[in-house]
Amino acid sequence: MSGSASALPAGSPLPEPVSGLSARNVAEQPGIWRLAWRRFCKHRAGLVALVILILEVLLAILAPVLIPRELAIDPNPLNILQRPSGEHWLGTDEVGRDIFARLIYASRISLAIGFLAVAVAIVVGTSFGALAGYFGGWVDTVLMRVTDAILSIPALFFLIVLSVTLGPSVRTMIIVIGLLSWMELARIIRANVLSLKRREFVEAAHTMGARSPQVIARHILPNTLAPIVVAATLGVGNALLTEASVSYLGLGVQPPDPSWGNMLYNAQSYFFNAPWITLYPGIMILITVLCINFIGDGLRDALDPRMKR
Amino acid sequence: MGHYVVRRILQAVPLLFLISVMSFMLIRMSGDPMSMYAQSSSLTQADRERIIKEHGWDKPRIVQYGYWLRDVARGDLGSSLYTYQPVTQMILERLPNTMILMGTVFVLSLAVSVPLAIVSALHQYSKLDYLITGASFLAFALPTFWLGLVFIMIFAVKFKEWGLPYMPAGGMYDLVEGPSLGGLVKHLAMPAIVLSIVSMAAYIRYLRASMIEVLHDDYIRTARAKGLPEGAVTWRHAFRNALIPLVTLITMNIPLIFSGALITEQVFAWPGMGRLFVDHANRGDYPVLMGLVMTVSVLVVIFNLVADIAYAAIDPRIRFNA
Amino acid sequence: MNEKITTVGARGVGRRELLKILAAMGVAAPLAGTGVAQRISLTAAQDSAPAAERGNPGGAVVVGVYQEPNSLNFLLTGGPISFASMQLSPLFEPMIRYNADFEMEPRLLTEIPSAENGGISEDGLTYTLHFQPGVTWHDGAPFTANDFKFTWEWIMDPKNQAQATAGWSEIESVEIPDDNTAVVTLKGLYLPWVAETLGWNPLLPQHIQSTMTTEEFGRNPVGNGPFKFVEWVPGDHITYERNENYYREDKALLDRLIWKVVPDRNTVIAQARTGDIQIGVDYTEAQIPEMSNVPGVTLEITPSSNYERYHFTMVTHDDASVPHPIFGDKQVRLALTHALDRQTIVDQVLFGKAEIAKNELDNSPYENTDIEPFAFDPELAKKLLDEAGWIPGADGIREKDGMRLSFTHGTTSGNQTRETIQALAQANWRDVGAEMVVTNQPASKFFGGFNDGGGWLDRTIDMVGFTNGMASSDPNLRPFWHTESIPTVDKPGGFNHSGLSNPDLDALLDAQITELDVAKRTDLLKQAQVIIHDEVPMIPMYDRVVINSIADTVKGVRSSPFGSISGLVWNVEDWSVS
Repeated sequence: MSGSASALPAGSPLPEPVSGLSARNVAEQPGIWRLAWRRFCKHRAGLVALVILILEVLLAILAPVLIPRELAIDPNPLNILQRPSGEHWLGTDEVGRDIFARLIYASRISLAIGFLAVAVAIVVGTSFGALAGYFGGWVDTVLMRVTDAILSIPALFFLIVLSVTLGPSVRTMIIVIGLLSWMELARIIRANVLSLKRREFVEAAHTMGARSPQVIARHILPNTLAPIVVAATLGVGNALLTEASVSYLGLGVQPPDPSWGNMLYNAQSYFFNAPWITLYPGIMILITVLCINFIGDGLRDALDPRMKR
Repeated sequence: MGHYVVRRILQAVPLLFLISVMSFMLIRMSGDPMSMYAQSSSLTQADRERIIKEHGWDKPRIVQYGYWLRDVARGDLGSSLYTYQPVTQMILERLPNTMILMGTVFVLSLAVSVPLAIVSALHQYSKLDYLITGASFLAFALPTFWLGLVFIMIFAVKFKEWGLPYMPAGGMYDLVEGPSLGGLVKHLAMPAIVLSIVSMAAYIRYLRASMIEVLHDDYIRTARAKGLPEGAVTWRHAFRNALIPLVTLITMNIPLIFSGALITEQVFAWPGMGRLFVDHANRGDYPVLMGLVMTVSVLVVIFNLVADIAYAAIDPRIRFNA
Repeated sequence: MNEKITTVGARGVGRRELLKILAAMGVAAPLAGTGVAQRISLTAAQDSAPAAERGNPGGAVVVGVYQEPNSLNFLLTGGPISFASMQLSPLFEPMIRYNADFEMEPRLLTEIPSAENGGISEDGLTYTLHFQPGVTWHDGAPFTANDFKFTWEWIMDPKNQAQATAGWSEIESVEIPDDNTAVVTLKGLYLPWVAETLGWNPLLPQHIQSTMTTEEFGRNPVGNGPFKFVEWVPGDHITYERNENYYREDKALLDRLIWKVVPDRNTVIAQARTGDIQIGVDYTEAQIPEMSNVPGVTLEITPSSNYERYHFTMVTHDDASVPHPIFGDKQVRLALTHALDRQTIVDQVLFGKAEIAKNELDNSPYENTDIEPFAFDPELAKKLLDEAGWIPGADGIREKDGMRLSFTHGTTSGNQTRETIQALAQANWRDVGAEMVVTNQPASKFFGGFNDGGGWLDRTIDMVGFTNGMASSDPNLRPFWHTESIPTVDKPGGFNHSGLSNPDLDALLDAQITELDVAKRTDLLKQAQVIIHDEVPMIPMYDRVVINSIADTVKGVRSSPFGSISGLVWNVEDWSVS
């Protein structure tokens, strides 16, 4: 799991595809990222969120160094549902495991699911949306029909059936959540591209002899960055929440490995006797999704190409 | 335009076929209907073999799909393997319940989120904007089942313990008093609010973002530069363009009105379509699952078509290459 | 030890009592004409509760259930243990019911057929059934013995989709000499006929069922029990009302009985606390603390003869003659059993409300009580593993011939009690150098057939956990442990999950199925248990209990241990609210 978690560039919480897609622009306009960063810094909430998220990711990566895994995994039946104390900062769960340790180890799994699932979704969704919108014709028809086919089946329906078929596991969750959350993105991007490609600057680029891939990468995608960023941030949050939902249906990450989702679900059974244990994973999900959304917000402001004019 | 519609409808046929093959294979792979009888001691081995033969489960899956398709072509979605009821009837029994819940949620969340998003976008970076976006971020970050359970624990269980007027913890009606409109509203309140909180957050996010984008657009600046009053700029130009993502959102969410909210229905014991799916997914009851998937798919196909036509109506720059 | 299963609020039966009861039941006992003297006199209690104890009529009780019945026709519900069977019981008078003391009580029958009362012929093939006179169906039509004959014929006609034919399929012919008598001739001697066919089972009204399909009847049931069907709103609730024309003097006390469907088990708790439901059915053990000490609500815990077991996969999926690479070795199976601290599981996870399960036929009159469960002894476990050639590797997990002592363990996913116990087992086994990898499956997959990915049966998972007990009230172990019951690709029937094949055991199992002398049969079964115990094909985990919550306003509820959850409603006509 550490491999997947560390694959995230610490400085940029958004998965690579977004920056990768505008790489050509970067090469030609070296100032753009510095400019964006400066603008991002002005977004205080985003900055704070970024710091918190970096801390979270660091903690997740360093967890094995900081906290022995046994604390999070080994049950201690004589120590069940303890209140928070000096020994167990957040108390213990229904089999006597340290909740703090479990939360940290859960963050490795939950964050990996969140980011990697969105990475899958962005790659698939952006490609589908941009190609369909730009080329139109039969390309549009085929791509959008496939999108429609998957979209028309409610995601959780599909999710249940797919997770059952593939067997519940972390990898299944990443693949399934990723493959089931790119369609909205594709449709939004397509709609945007449809609208953009008749605009003056794109038609001008065509007139000046630019080829299609260039036009898509250089002129259209940067202009659809805002919806991609918004959708991606919501996507990470969504993936974390979907993970929780799937746990609710018993198809999530399997015990004894903790994820925020399965911790949250298991805690529900002790709502009256130990209400605090249902609070922590809920708060972790809340904080993380909040941070990611604020960062997305900041990034949108920073990256919006029309704001620099 | 007419050609376009006809073409899209014709395209829908292979699409639905594709969906049905994909879904059938997946659903059949995901569970064995015989699991229902696994621990039933009153079934003899002969009973088991008879049931398997009756349904053709000893045949290859593709043949089983053929049986299913043949029946569907005759307008028969089959019968549940669990309740033995016709699937069509089961869906029709649940559809109104789901539409009551989801329709309420849809109207409620749009009614709140559209004005909030506009206000937020117009006053970007104001305290109000921070409040609205902050609240929507917060709402978006809550897992539905958790929020639902917390609502039940507080507004039903704890309120009762504290001697306050408390909400019913689930279901559609008060069973002892019998069905009434007041009872329905009371039972509807908690699941509808929980779902609205979550879906509003997403609506506000999308709408605010696209409004801001539009407000920064060249022609809006031009309109402003020409000295048009701000209200006119907002409504005539900005909002109209911001409608595109709104239409996308709405059309994408309409199928949810029919498919229901699987988890909220489960938590609040709401007898809707989502629960029908969960209940029968646990039993490998593929006629019901297929019936649900296909019903929702047909509705989605219809609304996608409506969405594309709506785009054209809103954004004159989109041309149909029919 | 025996007092371990105590019931909160002093309701229900203790384990020792259950044993007595099961013994008294002697299920397969009515073997007149076979020279067997061992017949049990069954209490023919006509009045289940003295009139003084009955509460006041009126009011309604809402019962919260997390599952909706699939049908209210017993032909489609698959035996008495299902939710649907519980829900349809108040509508249909059973021929024989089991009371809270697990005694048989004749209901539609005037007496339980036995050799003594002339109900069973000398050769054991002919049964004479006497039905109560004056019973009417809910529509007013009289109930007669013809309805019995019709029910049998309807069940046996395949087009009527009756799920289960056990017992009924043994009938050769039914004669109806008069309206209240049926003479049944069996095809051959069949030990569990009375228990399987007459016990719990209701009958169908010929004049109505014959005009509609089995399924339609299950949606519009017309019964002869203490309650009448009113409405069924799918996914929400089912309502019954008192049958004013009930044939017994003690009519139902409640005006209405309502089943409310509450799919989320945590919401069931919330509803029991708010009083939305008066009775909550079948809580998990994990929910015990949440439901204890709730003002105005009492938890009723009833023991059952089912127990949770962990089966070792002893042979491979493809070829049942090839031993499993790890669990093919008995020494390893024994070691892992010794390594498991079941007492802690029972005390901590099950809150001391259950007991360690001991052996096959646990808590039944056929139990070999000389068999003691293998003790918790991790040192012995390590020693056994060392001897078997499994040596600790670098990461602490043992290895042998380059293979790690790492195995998969599967049960139904989403069951918190099971997952918690898995975590404890995992830790126990890691302590002795064995690695358990959890691979749970949703029930729809897990309980699938051998060739349909059913993990509990198909031996693709190294160890599987599930609950099972005596399959019916008959102790026949052949379908579970005989070599011929090992499911294979070509012959997927049978429930010998582990793939245990022992010729001595096979011989005993073959002998017991034709042994008509109960004492001799019991002896054969006890010998079989010794072999099963010694082979260690499974770890008996703990006895299952049925946990219901009952509001203190509801009087007269006293669950029967028979039929698991459906034992709740055996005396539903005596329930009242204050």
